[in-house]
Amino acid sequence: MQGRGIYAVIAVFFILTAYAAPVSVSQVKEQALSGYLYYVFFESSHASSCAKPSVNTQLSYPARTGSFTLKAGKTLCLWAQVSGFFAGGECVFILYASSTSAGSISFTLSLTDSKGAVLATLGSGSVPVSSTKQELISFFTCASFTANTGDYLALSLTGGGAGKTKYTVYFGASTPTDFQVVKSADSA
Amino acid sequence: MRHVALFLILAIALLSTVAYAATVSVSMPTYQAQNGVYYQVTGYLNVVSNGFFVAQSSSAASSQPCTWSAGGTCTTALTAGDWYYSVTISLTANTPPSTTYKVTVLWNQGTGYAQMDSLTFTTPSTITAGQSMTFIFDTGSTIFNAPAGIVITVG
Repeated sequence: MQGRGIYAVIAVFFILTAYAAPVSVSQVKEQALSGYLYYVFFESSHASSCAKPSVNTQLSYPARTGSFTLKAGKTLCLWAQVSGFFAGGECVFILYASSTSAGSISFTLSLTDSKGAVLATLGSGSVPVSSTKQELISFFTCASFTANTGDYLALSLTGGGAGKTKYTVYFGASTPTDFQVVKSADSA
Repeated sequence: MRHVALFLILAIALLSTVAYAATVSVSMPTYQAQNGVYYQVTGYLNVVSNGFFVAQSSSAASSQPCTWSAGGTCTTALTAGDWYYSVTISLTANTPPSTTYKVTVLWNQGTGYAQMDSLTFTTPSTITAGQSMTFIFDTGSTIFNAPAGIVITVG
């Protein structure tokens, strides 16, 4: 009798296990799943010389507003302190600007060391500027990079066009000139 | 009679064991684990994030689901001055035709993930791999801080 009791207990154990295990699987079907971590560097004060880092961007939305003038043929920089690995891919530069005559502003995103020496050129592009203040968007391909502590991202802005063309670049609340890079990205 | 009963119990136990083994042997093409949930990702569509922008003017939401339009836009209602987030979805050779998908964007500015919004679209009856469409999501905010985590699901 005891032997049969043991068989019965074993049988019940297997039955319960078999019917309990399948319902514990959790699964959701998706066609695409992508994750990104964006760093948006808002310009927070006037652009500065490209020779030496001087932070004039911030990750939080700026409360103050302002503008600066960029002359044709001149170059100024936006600086951001960074560290760690950043994924390559699509980067974005958003410029709020106007000019005295139709022209363009070219830009280059670089990784520099703590003294401003260029370690790598990550991407570049150009945006057309007119006499109307407007939001100018440029997508550009960024190379992946690894920044050591103390390194900087430098976005240089160079005024194009005829010698007398002057560009006004706006920044801050409501005219948030900024550039965007992707810290990490994954998809499946 | 007792032997018959014992045989039946053992037979049920044996069949249950087989059933258990059959359940765990199911295989699926691809799995991604996130937050403890298993995702089956088939990769019929390509998704690219375009970043954040400020809406220059207000506009109405697209009718849902959006009809596929190569190079076109499908958008939530936009309010001038709000930040919006842009995603490009492109078709692949394996994309099923005439199928409706939902695009959902979650975002996190440091206080946890929350749904930004969602849009739906229907793939064309004839698939042309490489065709793309842009999807615009109003964040509902004029202020936006980084870094921002983004999760896009299409399903």
